[in-house]
Formats: sequence, C-alpha cells, structure tokens
Amino acid sequence: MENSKEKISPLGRDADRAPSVCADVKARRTDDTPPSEPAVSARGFCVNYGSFRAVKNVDMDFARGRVTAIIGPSGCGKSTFLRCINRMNDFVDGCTTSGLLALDGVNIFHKRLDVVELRRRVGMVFQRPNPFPKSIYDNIAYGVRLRGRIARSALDEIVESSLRRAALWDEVKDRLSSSALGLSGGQQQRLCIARALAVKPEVLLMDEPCSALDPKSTARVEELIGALSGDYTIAIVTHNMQQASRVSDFTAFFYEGNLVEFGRTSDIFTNPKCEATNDYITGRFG
Amino acid sequence: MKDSSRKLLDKSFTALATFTLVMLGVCVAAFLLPIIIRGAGAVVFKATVEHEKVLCENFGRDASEADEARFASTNAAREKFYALTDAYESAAAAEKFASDIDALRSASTAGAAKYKERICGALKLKSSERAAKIREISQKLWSGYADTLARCVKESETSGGSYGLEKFLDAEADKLSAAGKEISKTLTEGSGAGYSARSAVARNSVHYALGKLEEAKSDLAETNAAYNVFKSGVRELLGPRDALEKNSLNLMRQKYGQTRYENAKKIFSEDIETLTLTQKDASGAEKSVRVSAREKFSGTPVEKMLDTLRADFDAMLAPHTAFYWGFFTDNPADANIFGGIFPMIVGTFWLTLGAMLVAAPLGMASAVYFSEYARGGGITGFLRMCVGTLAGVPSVVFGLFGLAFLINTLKVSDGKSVLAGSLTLALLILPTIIRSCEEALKAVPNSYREAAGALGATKAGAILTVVLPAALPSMLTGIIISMGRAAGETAPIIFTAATSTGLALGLGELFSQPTTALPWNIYNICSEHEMAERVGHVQYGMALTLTAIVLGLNLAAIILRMKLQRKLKNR
Repeated sequence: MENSKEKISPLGRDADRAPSVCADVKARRTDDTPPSEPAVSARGFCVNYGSFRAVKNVDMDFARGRVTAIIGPSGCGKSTFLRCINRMNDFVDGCTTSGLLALDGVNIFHKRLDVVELRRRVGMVFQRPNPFPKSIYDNIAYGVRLRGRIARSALDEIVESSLRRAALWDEVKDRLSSSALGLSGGQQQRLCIARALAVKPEVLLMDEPCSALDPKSTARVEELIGALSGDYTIAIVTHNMQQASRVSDFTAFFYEGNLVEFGRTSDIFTNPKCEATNDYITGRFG
Repeated sequence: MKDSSRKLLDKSFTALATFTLVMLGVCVAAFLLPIIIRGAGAVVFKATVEHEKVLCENFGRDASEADEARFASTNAAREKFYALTDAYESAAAAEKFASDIDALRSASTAGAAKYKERICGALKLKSSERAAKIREISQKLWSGYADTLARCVKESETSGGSYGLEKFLDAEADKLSAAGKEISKTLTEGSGAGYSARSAVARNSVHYALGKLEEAKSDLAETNAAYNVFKSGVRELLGPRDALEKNSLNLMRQKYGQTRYENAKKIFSEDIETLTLTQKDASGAEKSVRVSAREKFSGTPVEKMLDTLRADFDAMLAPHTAFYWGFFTDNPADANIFGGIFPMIVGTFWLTLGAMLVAAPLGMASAVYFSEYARGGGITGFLRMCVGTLAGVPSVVFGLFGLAFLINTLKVSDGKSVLAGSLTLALLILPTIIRSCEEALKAVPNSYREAAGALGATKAGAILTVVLPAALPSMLTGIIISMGRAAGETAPIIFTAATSTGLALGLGELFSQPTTALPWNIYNICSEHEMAERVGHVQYGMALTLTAIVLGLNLAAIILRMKLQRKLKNR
C-alpha cells in the first residue's frame, strides 16, 4: 500500500483540482463529522453509459470508520456509483467516468493505478451471495492466494480470523473443506463478507447485501455491519429504509443520478431538507 | 380457452409425449438388442473342437486336459468315418472290376479270329465303306466287353471302387489300341494288305469298345466329381485329415474345420447334404445345380458316410460352450475368420486419443476466447459463423480435406497414418467442442467473475481460478461426447488412417503407419469380405464393441458430470 502510493502520483492528472477538493471537504465539516480525513471522496464525479449519464456531478465523502448508506429508487445510479469505488465498472462495456473519485486522496481512475491493489483495499459484497463453487476454506483463501504464496499456517489463521469477524466461524469450523454452495443464503452472504475481509481491506462496499436474505439472516448481517464499523469504512446501498436508519451513520439520497441530500442519518430520517427526500423516505414514491 | 378444451390439449400433449417415449424405447431396443445378443456371440458361443485347435496352434494357448480329451475323442470318432472313405477310395475295391475287364478284353481280342474272313472281305471295299463295315463287325466283337464295362461301372458306383476303376480305365484306351493292333496283325498277316488297310483294321476293329469306354469314363467322372464335392464339404467341416494334407494348404481357413457349431451345422446341411455340382446342359453351357447328396448317392457307400456323419456329428466336433475373451485381445487371423479384434480396438483408441489431445485444448482455448474475450465485432461474428458452418460440414468432406491438405499438401506423413487421421478427426469435432465449451462458460454466473474481480483477480486469473473450474463439468461432458463421436466416425479415417488388415500399432508407429479401426473394419468385414456370411459373429462383435465404447464414453460423461457437480454443490 505504501509502495503503491509512492509509485503513483497521488493526484494524477487532477493534481490541480485535488487541493481544492480537500479544502472543500474540510470547509464542509461540522462538529459531528469524525476528525480524520475521509476515506473516499467524490468531487464532480460523473458516470456515463455510452451517452446516458447515470451519475451526475456527485460531491460526497465517506467518513473513515463509519457506515454510509446510499438510498434511492431503482435506477437512480446509487449502485453504479458504489461500484466505481473499486472500479467494478471496468467490467461494463462503454462505461466512462469523469470528475474525481479518490481513495485516501489518490484518484481511483488514474490510468497507472494498480486496480488489483485498489480492489484489495476496497472490498465488495454483492446483492446476491456469490461464493465460488469451491470449499469454504478456498473461498476465504482465494483473495489471499492471489497475492502470492503464503504459508499454510498463516493462511489458516487468516481464514479463521476472517470467519470469526464475519461471525461464521462457529457454524462452519467443522466443515471448512466442504463446498460453500452447501451453506444457507445468510451463511453464504456472511461467507462473502468474510472473503472480502480476508484481504484486509480498508473500505467495504455492500451492494444491497440483504435483499436476497430472509429477515433473520438480514438481522445477523446488520449486526455484523455494526460490529465491523469502526475498523472499516463501509458504504452500503440499500432499498430498505429501516435498514439504512438502523445500520448507518450517514445517509445519501440519490435521485435520477443526482445526489439530492447527504447528511447524518438521524437528520435525513427525522428532518430531511429536501421535499423529494421526505417523499421517498415516507414511502410516497420509489 | 374453455376449461374442457384446455384439459383436452393437456391430455393430448401428455399422450403424444408418452407415445414418443415408448417409440424411442422400442427403437433403442430394436437397435441395441440384436447387437448385444449377437455381438455377445463373438465371445460366448457353442464352439467345436476346431476352436481349441486354432487357439493352441496359432494363438499360443496351452491345451487343457479337457481340450486333450476332446482332441482324442474327436479323432477317434473321425477315424471311424475316414475308414469308410478309405475303403471307398481304395484300389482294392476296384481290383475285381479291373480283372473282369482285363479278362473280357483278352477274350474279345482272341475272338477276333472268328471274323477273319469278313474283315478280309471288307478290306476289298472302297475305303469309305470299309470303315463302316469293320465298325459293324467291332460292335459284335466287343459287345460282351461293353456289357461288362457298363456292369462294372454300375457296380462300382453302388458298391464302391469307382475311384480305383476310374484310374484303371485311364490306361484302358491304350490297352484297347494295342489290342486293335494285335487284331490287325493276326487277321491281316500274310494277306498282303497295305499299311493303310492294316491301320484301318487296327483303328476300326476297337472303335465300338473305345466309344463305350468313353461313356463309362464320363459316367465315372460324374460320380467321382460329386463325391469330391462331398469330400471337400467334409474337409470344410472337419478340417484336413492329417498334417501332410494340412501343410499342403495355403490359407489358414483351409487348415481347420468349423470352429463354431452353428457354422458347422450350416456347412453340413448346405455343403454336405446338399451338393453344388457343375453340369453341362444341352447347349454345352456349364451351370451349377444343387442336388441332394442322399438322392445322388442313394444305395452307395457314400450314403453310409452321410449316415455316419449325421450320427457322429457331435462326437466328431465335440460342441461345447466356450468363452472366448481373446476376442478382445487376440490379433485376427486369415481375414478375421479366426482370432479377435485387438488391433481395431487399439487403432480406435489411438485415433480417438490423438484427436482429443489436439481438439480439447484448442477447443477450450477457442471457447474461452469466444466467451470471455470476444466483443462481438465483425471478425468475431465471422469466426463464429465459420465454427457453425464447420459443425455442419459432412464428415466425408473432412476426410477429403485430411487427404488433400494434411497428407498431400502438408505431408504430415507419407501416406495414411494415425497422425493424419487424428488431426482430421480433431478438426471434425473441434466445432462441437468449441460450442459445448462456450455454452458451459456462458452458463457460469457472471457473479463469479465479479466476485473474483472484486477480490483483485485479473481477468485471466479469474478465468483460470474460478470460471474454468466452475465450467469444467459441462465442458468435460461436451468433450467426452465429442470423443464418442470421434471414436465412431468412419468417413474421415477412410481417407486418412484406416486400413483393413494389420497388427496393433505401437507409439512409435503412429506418425507413419495406417491402422485398423473399428468403424472402418465393421464396414469392411460386412461388405468387402469374401466370406461375409461366415464372420457374422465378428461383424456383430465389432459393432457391439464400438457401441459399448461410445455408450461407455457417454455414460462416463454423465457420471463425471454428476460427481463433479455433487462435489461443487455439497461435499
């Protein structure tokens, strides 16, 4: 990580803009915001699918060690925005970005940035649990092994600690070598979280992690998110407003590609500034 | 739609599906059952003692005690039969007739003196009348001889001895001529007759006897020819009688009798009990006729031989149930009439293996390109179209391509070779492998690729570590099914690799030598074999083996897929 920071010029071609961004972020800070630098920050960030602009000019910060929820109706661009943070949009043909999206002040879209390293630092959990058709152990070890040879004992330790963090260890410790596809949906999703944690990321992106789970599993995952916050910067996209209010510290409301409102969760849900936010969270549309 | 009509539609669909299923089952049964039943006959069958003889003498098997006992008992039974033929053919049987004929000839020669005046008178006639006159006299002179001759022929045919008689009669013409000269000498001595008159007497005085002799000889020849046909039928059934006769024969099929009881019975009824004889009809054209041996030889010793053959049939052949597993491990002998199909199995194995070694990696790589990297542009579309077209090209065209391009242009080998055949088969199944692998890769959920990517895997890394392992069961299924197709293809290997006879090839010969292979040899042995009806068991045995290989490969594909999927899903 240190290495990559040195290798890439921190601000790349947007060097001229970067300082003002940081200044802007500092200027916006209120007493409630955590004292440290934001982990991820977006400035004038846009995403285009061909000629269609899916995310328009977004300015927002993800506070370090906090949970930030992104809500909004379907097709509002919240998932697209989230996926840009670890450049999953690279997999989409015809997807282009403009503006600045920075991780620790480093432009994520810099052409010389090591995507593999970025993705190690920014883990992701998907909407549907997607464990590999391998054993539970191999699923967790996958990301670690990608980074080179590692002693079996060290790997065992990482697997155990990741599973413990994801509150899955006690349920699977006796069958680490059996297929991950044999787990229940909720267990699979926690396995995916453990898999993401195994590479020791700084940021964890969650794209509607509970939408395919039953309420009981949802509760366990939410519990887990609560336990992880503090150590990880978590960004979670959700359709479930109760969930957003339960798990997040900050909430951003997206509508038609625009960031409509962003603030402390308690403020957004009790005292929204915009009419649209109010309508959405009270269920008038969306 | 009304509820009633909807129900009717439902029912008719169910009925149609059931009917189709039943038809399918019937077709499979009608197709497979004969192959299985008759093919099994190549391995398990009712064998005769000749089967063990072939195995012991040509395939390096040691005779078991049971075999030895069989050899002894059948030889004893055969000796009984051969004693009959010996008696029938022996010269002793003809001696009586020979001495009768000798006596009559001498008597007739001596009796010519009676006609001295008439013959001398005839010599004074014009030469054209002279011959007729002397011939008239010769008829009277030789009538007793002719009667005896006819009686002897007839008797020899019914009581035996026609063989020796025919040999005796071969010399009879010369003896008759000598008798004619003697007659001429005694009759014309001192009469002052010229040379031409003397020779006219010599010639014409035995004319009648010579004519009768020819008749007798042709009578005998016909009988003996029929007997020879009978005897060759017996030799086909039992094999040559002794080592001397055996060594004088060239083809292995002539050196042994029938190894299979069913064939032996067929030979008995078709070539021994019924004889195929060549006869001249009125216009002199030869034609073959089928006659019943029993009628032809009725009342003769041959009839007794027939009875003995029928009665001791089992004793001479010792029929028993044999398990000939060597069918799969023995080389064929004498155009598959004996032995097994080992080289064909090995050839098929090499061809299929070679095709797989080339086609599987190429096909998988192409499939990965099409499924993971190609972006659907013009070139990719064109390539896809090419693959689709290749899949539809008739296999015989691939064979021609293999011959024209691989052998004649690239010269991968001097002529047909396993290498050329394998490459041709590889090209043939490549489109199918590409397609099935591509389908398998497309069936891998995109979420696996995303998950791998999100953990920092590169595209190639994700393909190697996640996508390919997940797609492997389906890919293997497609590949193994293609393998079955390669094993069974005939047309491509006709042009590039197949030969009708040969031994199993070793690894070093694969690059230069053609091979036998099941699909081609099945065709060959069914349509090009000179004794196709005698090797029916080999035809079906080969068909069963090939079917078993292909079905086995497909079954392996199914089991493999089930196992891998279970492993991926649960334990």
